[in-house]
Amino acid sequence: MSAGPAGPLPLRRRDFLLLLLALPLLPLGERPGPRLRIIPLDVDAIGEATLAG
Amino acid sequence: MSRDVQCQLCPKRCVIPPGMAGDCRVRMNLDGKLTAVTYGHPVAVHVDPMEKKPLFHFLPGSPVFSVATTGCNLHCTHCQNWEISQAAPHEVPAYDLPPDEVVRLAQAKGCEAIAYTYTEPIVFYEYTYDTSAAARAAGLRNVLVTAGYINPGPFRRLCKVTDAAIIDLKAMSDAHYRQTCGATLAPVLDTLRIAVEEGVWVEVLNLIIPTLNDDPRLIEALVRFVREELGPQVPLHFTGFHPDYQLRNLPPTPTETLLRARQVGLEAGLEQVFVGNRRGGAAESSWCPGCGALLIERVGFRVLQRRLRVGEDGAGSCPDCGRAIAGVWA
Repeated sequence: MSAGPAGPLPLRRRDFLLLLLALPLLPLGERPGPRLRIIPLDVDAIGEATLAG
Repeated sequence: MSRDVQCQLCPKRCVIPPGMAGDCRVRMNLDGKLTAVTYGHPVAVHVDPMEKKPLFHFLPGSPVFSVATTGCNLHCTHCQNWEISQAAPHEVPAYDLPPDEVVRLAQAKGCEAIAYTYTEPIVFYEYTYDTSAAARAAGLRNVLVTAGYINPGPFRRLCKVTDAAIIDLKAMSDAHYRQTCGATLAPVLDTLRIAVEEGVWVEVLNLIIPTLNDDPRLIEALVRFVREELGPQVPLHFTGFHPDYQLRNLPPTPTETLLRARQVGLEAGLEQVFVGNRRGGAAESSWCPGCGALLIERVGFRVLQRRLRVGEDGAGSCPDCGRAIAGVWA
C-alpha cells in the first residue's frame, strides 16, 4: 500500500502566506515601461563619434 | 477586448501586446498606448563632420550635431553600431535631452544642422520629428541617416521638416534584405522616391559586402535605379564593409571592388559617385561632370580644398566651365 497522498496536497497556512507575499510580484496588471538608466551628459566632452554614420 | 496595439510606422506593422515592444524594441504598448520609450533619451550625442554621415553635397565641411537613441527596425548581420542599434532601451545608459535642449546644444556647439543617425531615426520617429521642428524654428537644418524602412504616410510628414537624407540602399535584391537585414526591398525604394519628390536633398549609400551583394548585376541595377528614378545628380556612395557583429567570417571589401562599382556608376551617367570607408584617392572628391575639374577635394571626412563656386543665391557651379553642380551649399 502506498504511503503517499491520493489527491492534491492540501494548501497549508505557510503556502498561503507565501502566495500572499508574492502577489505584488506577479505580472497581473499592465507592465510599466522599461526603467531607463539615465546618466548626466558632459557637454564639454561632446566630440566626434567613433560610431559609424 | 484585445488591448494589443498595431504600430503603423514601418512596413513591419507590429501587433504589440500590452507591456511588450515591437520588433525595433523601442516602440511599446504601455497601458494600451503606443509609446516610443526612448523619446528625449539619446544614448549617443556627438559633433561630427558632415562628410562622416556621409553627405558630400550638403553643407560640406560643416560640423553636424548628431544624436541617436537605441533601436532599429532592421537587424543587419553586419551592423557596425550593433551595440546600440540592437539593444533594448534599458540596456544602454541614456541622457535626458528633450528636443529644445538638443537644439540649444547644437547651437552652442556651432552646428548649422542636426543629424538623427547612428541607429535608426525612424524608430524614434516622434523625437526626430519634434527635434527637427524645433531645429527648423531655430534656423537649423535636419539630416536623416536612415535605412529608409518606413511607411509612406509618416515619411512624407517627416520630410516636411527634413533637409537632407543619406539613405542606405543595401542591395537591389529582396532576398538580400530578407536574409541579411530582416526587411524587404520595395519600401526602401519607395522611401527614396518620396524623399526626392518631397524636395529633400538625397544621397544614396551602398555598403558592398563580399559575396553577399557584390554581384556586378546588383551594382548595375542599383546604379540604374538611382539614375532613372532619382536622377543622375543624386550622389551615390559605395562604401567598404569590415567584419563586425554577426558577420565576421567575410573579408573586408577590396578597394578595387569599390572603385569598379564607382566606374560603373560614372559610365552609366551618374554625376557624383564616391568611395567610402577606404582611402579612395580621387574617388573621395567631387569632380565637375562637365569638364572634369576638381570641385571639392576630400580625404576621409576632411575637406582639403573647395574650388566650387557658390553664388549669392546658394547655387553651386564649376569654377572652370560654369556648369551647375547640384547640392545644398549654403
